Amino acid sequence: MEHSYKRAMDAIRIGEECRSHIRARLEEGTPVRRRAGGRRVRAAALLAAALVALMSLAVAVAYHTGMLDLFFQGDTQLLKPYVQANLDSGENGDYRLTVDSAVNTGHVVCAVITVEGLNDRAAADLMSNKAVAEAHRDLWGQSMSDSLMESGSLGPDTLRACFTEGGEPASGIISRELPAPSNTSRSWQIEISMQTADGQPASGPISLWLNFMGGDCAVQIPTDVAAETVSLSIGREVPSQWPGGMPVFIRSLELTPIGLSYEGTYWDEGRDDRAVPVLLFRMADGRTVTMAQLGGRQYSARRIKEPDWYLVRCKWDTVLDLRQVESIILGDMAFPLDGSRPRRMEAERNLYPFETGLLPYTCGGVDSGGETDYLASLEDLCRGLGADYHWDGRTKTAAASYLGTTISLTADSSTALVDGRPVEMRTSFLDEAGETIYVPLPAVENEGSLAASISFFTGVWQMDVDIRQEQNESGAMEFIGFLIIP
Amino acid sequence: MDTLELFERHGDAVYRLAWSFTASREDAEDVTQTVFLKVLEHPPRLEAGKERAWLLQVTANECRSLWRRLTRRRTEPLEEAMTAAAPREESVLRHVMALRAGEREVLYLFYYEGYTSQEIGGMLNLSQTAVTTRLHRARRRLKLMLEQEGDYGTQL
Repeated sequence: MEHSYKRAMDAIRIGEECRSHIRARLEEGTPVRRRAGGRRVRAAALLAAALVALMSLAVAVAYHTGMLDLFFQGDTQLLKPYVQANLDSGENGDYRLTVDSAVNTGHVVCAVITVEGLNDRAAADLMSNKAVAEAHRDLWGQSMSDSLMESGSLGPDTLRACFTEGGEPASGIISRELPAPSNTSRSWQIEISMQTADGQPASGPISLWLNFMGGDCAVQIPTDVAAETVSLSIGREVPSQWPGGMPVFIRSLELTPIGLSYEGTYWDEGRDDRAVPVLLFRMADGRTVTMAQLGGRQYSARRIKEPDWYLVRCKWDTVLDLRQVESIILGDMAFPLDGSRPRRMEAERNLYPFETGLLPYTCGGVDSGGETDYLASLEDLCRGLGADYHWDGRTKTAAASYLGTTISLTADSSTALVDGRPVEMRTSFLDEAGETIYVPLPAVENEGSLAASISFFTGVWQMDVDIRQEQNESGAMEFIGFLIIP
Repeated sequence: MDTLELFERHGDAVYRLAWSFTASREDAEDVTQTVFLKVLEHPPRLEAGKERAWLLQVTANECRSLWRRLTRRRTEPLEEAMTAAAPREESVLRHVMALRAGEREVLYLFYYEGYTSQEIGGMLNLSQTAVTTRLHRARRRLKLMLEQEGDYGTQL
């Protein structure tokens, strides 16, 4: 069908009349408008700037001391030696961009940056987001500019980065605004993947700038102090995390405290689904930890130079002490991090995906607010997880315990108890026989059907679900969820 | 590269993406013309090889802008939009047109243009998972429609 689609799209072409018309307009040409204003230069050190520098230093101190906690959960002390603070700053007459702190986690550089308005007008434009909105108008149109004024967000074009050596653009920047440190400045936490826009691994310092300040004001983020990484040669197929899915061939793998990357295959033969491997960590104390337990998710997949090979990166929120990881389990083999020979190892079965039936949410009459797609049986979920489950038919309450956390749910109630604490959730649903409690799964629109978490378990039990529609023997459609266990 | 050359090289790609989003020949032509006139007015400084991705990004944005401006959606017979296509391809396109605009858009960028979901996310200002979701849904819905028609051959 892919070929049919391509062939069909080949037939979609600009009509000749329109083509001729556009050609004529382009040949005729239109005077090119030049942007007002000349090149801005870095301001010399003035007395006023010195005062502002003192202020920004205070801001930097505020953010770099706890910067790891902005990005990661749990004990972040392991990364502390790699945090660099009071880094570069660049300015023109209106704004100063400062890198307050940065940490190179191996594959991703996390940083906190602050922009400050250096005069009243610039500060007002910065705080109102006019500076950002105006810089988008030419290329993105008035509606984008209006939308940025309304949302206050950075938009697609504000943050720019390239690798200083060679000037290759970075593959992308993820940003989240932090509370404004003052009434003339704004701060963001940003993540820059150590990968070029072409998907190739990159190294060396990063130049970062804001489009409304211009490339002349770029600041340098050093990457020479990086967290420990462990590289392993794998060279074998690893089972897919989806039952019946295509195995993934992993050629090599690199592990960092907050993620891993591997070179391998990515799509199944029909490009119908991503081929995602099961990745487990055997800890020195004998526990097996899944990537989901670390808050992990696939971060990016970029085609590398060889055909059909991808560099796939996964990232997690909890800092992993690599000294405590004995091996990484891929399929039935464990690959020790010390580089010794791989050996056979079977991880616990309940750490692998399992299948469970789902109901469309309309079956339960649950008010979804337009967000819930499906309902799952809590008992089935617990059975698959290997979690303790207890149903009290008298009070119509289910209690489920897993990984040290107990969740208690009462039918038709929107309040769950998580370790005794009330947590608001969407209403659970009791089936017609009054014996099975169903819990709502969230919409897949926002986070993707391959990475949806069960709403009220979020932050308690990490769980991913893939929902598929299948026809049963009687011809009726059934919804099947394949759950990826924490 | 001057604007006319950009148009000759990438005009059809811009038009196909616009058509994928708007499902209208007339709207797609409007968008295509607007995109290239914008380039003429504000020639971007682009690295060699990045022109197509940039044009498609601008196109996607222009489609959204047009979408917001229009108070009603026009639909048109598929035949008007296709200069020539075999019945099999026409059938596939009919089903593609039944998808949502956002799904058609990522389908085009992914399968026809060959961009990765991350690249598409960058172009459309969407998260990678949102792109994956749209692709996943588009594939699933297409498969279902073609199966119902008894026309499901190889998987997309």
